[in-house]
Amino acid sequence: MGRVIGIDLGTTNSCVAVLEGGEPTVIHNQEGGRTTPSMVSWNADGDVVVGAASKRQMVTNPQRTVFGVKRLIGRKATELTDLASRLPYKIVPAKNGDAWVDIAGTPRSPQEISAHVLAKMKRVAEDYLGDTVTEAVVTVPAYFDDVQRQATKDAGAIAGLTVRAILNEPTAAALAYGIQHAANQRLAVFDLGGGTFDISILAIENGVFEVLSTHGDTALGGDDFDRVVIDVLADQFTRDNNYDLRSDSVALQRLKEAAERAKIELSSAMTTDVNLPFIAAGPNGPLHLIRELERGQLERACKSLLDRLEAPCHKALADAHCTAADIDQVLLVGGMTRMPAVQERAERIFGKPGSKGVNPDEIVAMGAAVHSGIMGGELQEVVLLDVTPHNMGIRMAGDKMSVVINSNTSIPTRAKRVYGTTEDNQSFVAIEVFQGEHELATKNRRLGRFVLGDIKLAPRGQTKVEVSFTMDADGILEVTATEVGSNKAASVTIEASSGLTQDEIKALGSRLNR
Amino acid sequence: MQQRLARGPYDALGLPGNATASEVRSAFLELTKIYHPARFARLAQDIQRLSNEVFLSLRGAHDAITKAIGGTPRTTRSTQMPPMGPAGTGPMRAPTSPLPVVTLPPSAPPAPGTDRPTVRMPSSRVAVPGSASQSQSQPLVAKPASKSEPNVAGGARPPTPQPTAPSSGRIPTPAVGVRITGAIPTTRAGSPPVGAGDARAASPTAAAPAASTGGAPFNERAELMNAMEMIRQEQWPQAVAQLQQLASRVPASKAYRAMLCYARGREAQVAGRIADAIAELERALQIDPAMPLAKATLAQLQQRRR
Repeated sequence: MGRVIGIDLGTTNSCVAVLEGGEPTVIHNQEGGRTTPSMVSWNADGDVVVGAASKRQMVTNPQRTVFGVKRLIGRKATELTDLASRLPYKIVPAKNGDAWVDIAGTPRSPQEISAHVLAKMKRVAEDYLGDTVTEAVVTVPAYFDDVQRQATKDAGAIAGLTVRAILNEPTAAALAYGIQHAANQRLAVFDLGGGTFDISILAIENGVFEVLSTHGDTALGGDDFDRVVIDVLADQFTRDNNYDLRSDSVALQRLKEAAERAKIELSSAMTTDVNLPFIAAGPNGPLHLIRELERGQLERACKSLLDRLEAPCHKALADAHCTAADIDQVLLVGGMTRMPAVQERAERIFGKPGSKGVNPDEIVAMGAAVHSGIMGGELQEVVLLDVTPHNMGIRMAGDKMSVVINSNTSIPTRAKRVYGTTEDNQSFVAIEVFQGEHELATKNRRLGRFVLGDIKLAPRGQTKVEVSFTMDADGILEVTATEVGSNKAASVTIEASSGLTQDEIKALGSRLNR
Repeated sequence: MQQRLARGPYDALGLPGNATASEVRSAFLELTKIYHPARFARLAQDIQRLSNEVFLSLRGAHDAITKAIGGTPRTTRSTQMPPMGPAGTGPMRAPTSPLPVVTLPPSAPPAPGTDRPTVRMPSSRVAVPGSASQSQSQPLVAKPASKSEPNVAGGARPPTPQPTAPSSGRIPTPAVGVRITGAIPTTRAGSPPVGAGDARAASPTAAAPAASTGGAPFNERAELMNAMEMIRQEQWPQAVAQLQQLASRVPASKAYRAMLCYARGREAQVAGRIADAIAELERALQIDPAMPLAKATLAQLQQRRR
């Protein structure tokens, strides 16, 4: 059987690893990097450029260079108006309302754009292994919902990869850490990446990795810290020159690069220079942005972002029925955890410093490779029990969300509830399935609907219907409704749709591989 | 695993009736390492579904015993597992149903604003199978519910039920955000899994009500678990025999026939009959073109031949 590769498809950077002799190994890309920028550009002649080459032309080709597409995948354009206003490329709504990217007049789905990154990682692995690769484990933020997960799977299909498992990023990190530190223990994985924040609490017990709880914030990551730096620099520049760099897409792109660099430098240095000559043309000639930035300034400006790290951690601890003192080890994952203020915040929450000796950029891909070994049978002594991150339920009268499977339930799982009819002589019930934490069903993600018909006519409340949810280890949900006391039943398997049809996925796939 | 699962939670975990909480826990963890669905993620979908059921049963056993001997089930914090095994036939230690059943008092109609779950009946939409036994082929309507729909009481039988579609596995056009891959009634006892291609249609829940009525002499799931174990241990002649039995008991299952050919192929390969092995593996792939195990072995064999 061919090799299954592990891919960390990151907001900013991606990384690929394979299991070799029971050990996860990160693979260098053709440019020699251990991670690859998750960026895709279309040249004027229509050629697609991926990775470092795309990043290089971001300044000269900002409208046709897409970064951070993970923030768009599986989302509606209307959910992203705030983000869209800050991006140099253009977000357009697809026919079904999904957020797509307009590249020189051609709307392209985030799945297609992500597929270019995945295809690049596939080629990197193939060059290294000297063999065709068709299967992968791909990681996503733990807090991704089913639509975002399905969209990621579809991106894999476009890239010619069968995604054998969608693994949660913090869980992957714990797997990679845990196979080297096998003792029974409790871990907190604090994962602040380019676009998302996840916190997971796990127990390792005799080789079984059991996720106890997971929480997060899908809109908190390195990009937000970059934006704070951009705002600090641009606000001062506006005061000095009466010129807003954020309204000039080429200037904004240079500013964004400089901001990211400054942020990274301030993780090790106390001050850094921002040096952007000729950044814009003012009424009296060229304008330059040249100034010094201090770590303290950055930390003060980022305070509200740092504050947002706290609540998910406390919720995760509460859901795992433990306190910070029960945590043996805090794993820091994601490039943003290099920022001293982030490390301090994690230490304050958990009362102990984060684990050293873990490469926050590579550990997630390594964990994905470990999981491929669990599936392939190379690692017999390790297995993972994950949880579903969101409530699953059905809609009741008054749009109330009736939860059948609670968030942080270990999967696979099965749960049942019995419901009564609401009207006299009601002859059928419509089961509408939703995912999310809101009390109103329609404020959550709608996954599907089906009908159980021809039920016994009786005064309201007397006819009862049992609704059963079965979720498998991949999070795929099957819902069955049965009339109590009879054999009448209806059932569907509900898989979220990323909005692309199988035909579209196939067509995009053959175009990409041409 | 076959008899063990059917005989109740202690047998399922391979433990004596006086096992301690920590023995229960470590037996469960060891079995988890063997039977977790991730171990079967690269096999046919039928097998994945079965591994899911087996694992749910193991966890149900773990939780039932842990609860009965006074511990808190760690694996199931907020939602309870169904009891494992045929209810009433196995020596279940936990007599209470762990299911969160919400029953409504027949005399009291649900009052608005209470916490009582009720299912709202949309009175104007029509998507009603003529009977449950027909609903297998009934396209499920997945239109977004209209919010403006009046919440009329006294819902009469809806107008004309939709004609049922021929059972061609036709799936309705996905509505926004929805992909429905299968539909099956849960009325038939022991409904056999269908081919791997539409394996989703073989509902694992289909077996649950049937099992609870008890007395089925042929435990398909257990038989398949045995076969899978033999494949895992590469005991090809035993696997062939087991799969032959399965395939003849459930002739509709393409997956079993494909697995049988695969096992025969591997048996031939081990015996050095390479041409036979290739022929059997090719047959497996004709039956189930998506069988990754067969594909990979076949590719290896053909490469070696050249």
